[in-house]
Amino acid sequence: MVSFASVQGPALRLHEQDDGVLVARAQGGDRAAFRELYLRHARYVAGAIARWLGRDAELDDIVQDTFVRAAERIDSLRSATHVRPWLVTIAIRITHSRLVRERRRTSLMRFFVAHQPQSSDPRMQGPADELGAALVRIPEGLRVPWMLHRIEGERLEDVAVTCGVSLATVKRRIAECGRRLESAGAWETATTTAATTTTTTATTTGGTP
Amino acid sequence: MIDEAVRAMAEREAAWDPLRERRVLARVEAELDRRGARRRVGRWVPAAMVAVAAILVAVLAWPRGEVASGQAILGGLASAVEPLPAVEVGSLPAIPAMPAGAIALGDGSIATLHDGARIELRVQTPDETRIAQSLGRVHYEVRPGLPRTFVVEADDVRVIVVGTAFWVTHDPDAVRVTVEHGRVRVQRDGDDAAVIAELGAGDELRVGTAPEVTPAVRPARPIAKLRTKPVAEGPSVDELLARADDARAHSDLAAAAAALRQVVEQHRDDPRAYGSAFQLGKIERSRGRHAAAARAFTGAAERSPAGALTEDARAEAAISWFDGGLYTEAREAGEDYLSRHPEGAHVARVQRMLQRLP
Repeated sequence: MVSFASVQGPALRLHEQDDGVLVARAQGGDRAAFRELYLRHARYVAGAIARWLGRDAELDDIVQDTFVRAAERIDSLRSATHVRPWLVTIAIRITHSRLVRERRRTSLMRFFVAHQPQSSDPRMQGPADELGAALVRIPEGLRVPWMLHRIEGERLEDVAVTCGVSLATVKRRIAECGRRLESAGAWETATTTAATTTTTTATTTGGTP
Repeated sequence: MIDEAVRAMAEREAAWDPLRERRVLARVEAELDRRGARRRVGRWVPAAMVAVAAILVAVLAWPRGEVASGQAILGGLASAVEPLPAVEVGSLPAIPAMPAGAIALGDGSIATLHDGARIELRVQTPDETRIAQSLGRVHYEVRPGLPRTFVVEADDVRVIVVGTAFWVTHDPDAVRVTVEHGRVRVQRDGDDAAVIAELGAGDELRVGTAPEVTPAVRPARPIAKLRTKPVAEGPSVDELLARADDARAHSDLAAAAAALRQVVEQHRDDPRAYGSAFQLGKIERSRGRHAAAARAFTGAAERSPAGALTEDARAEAAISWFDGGLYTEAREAGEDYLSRHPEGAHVARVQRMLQRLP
């Protein structure tokens, strides 16, 4: 746990420093360095959260929780050059906790439909949302490397460092996660439903085919 | 099929803009401060308990005629280490200026001192808490819901609070008030006690400690005047903002821009015109009207040079001039941004833009 001291003395051009330097300074209690890390990675972390959640409502809260937790645990960061996947890993865990809580709540109150997916292509809402729901049910040890690699596009080597396991283990976990998601297969139905709905709407409104 | 789902998920983007980024950053830092204050207070509790026990023993052993002074000492010490309910006493003796640390006030509020801050608790009664801040930066987390006034005095500037969290930074020539949540009223001390501004979450105000408000904060107008000002002809600001929100919800950016432009042009004196100008800039940029966006951002910055959005507005203006192909204005605005905000959040972005200028 790190307690931050206020920054004194002449201002440095932190934005010119690489992540490793910033992490080292943040680990020493430099809040300005942590702020720079936030400014550098918050957008990406927000994107990672939004990709899974598919909605905007809780984004601020999750990004806030992610960076607060990151500040408190920055000493545990294994590799200073892997800040981004490390932050995304924290974000994934926090998002998962929220989704699990939400699922429990909605199972009791099904008439509360707070889930409002957003996607640039409405036809894509179904499969992505179903995939997101399926991911909630996957164990964290499989889900995190799979999401870092398949959704966030991180290299397998970087995922291995972030997760603290060997490259072979990461490959095995990603493959296992993919197998479980394939066997779930709920989004195939959703794709068909979404496509059908789109076609129906186009026909009804007389839109161009 | 899973590949299609993966692709769909990977293509999702967050609606994340600089303003939102800064807002969440402020929340992150406030939360870290709050947790840090708790830890610091927590570390002192065992020692304080021992000290309180020792004083209690001393008080009990003291002759009865001296008990009154013992209570005064106890009250002062306890209020410095641990929240207590507002006590049924008159004004407590003033606690001497404190050089550092977190101070839990008797009403449950916490003042966390930074940068060599010094404060003095002048009044603490069930009806009023009054603190004089003579130096440095202090974060106040005020316990809400109590029927008392909470006032921070920094030179001749008063910050009056009812349940909120905010910063007061006392520089040699100015006092800066930054509100995290809730509302505070800032007023000038004196016979007329002129209200300078009422601030909400995310607002920041810099007030010169000279007799006059510095030009940088002149847009913050006396509340009484703002509230009694006759409504301009045509729709009210509330109606126009509602119209803009509704238009944006329906992706009608042209209508949203028109409503916001009306706020900016026809309600110049309304404090919401500042934020509306900034929003107008964002919408115009979304519409690809970069020059119009740049003008809107510039207008926002000029309207409130020390406003919470102004740094963002200056950077966005420079980028928008560039995107609109108006390179002379882009260079001027970019250099202006760098000179005013050498450590600003957009320095790298503006520098990249300047490097790309023909």
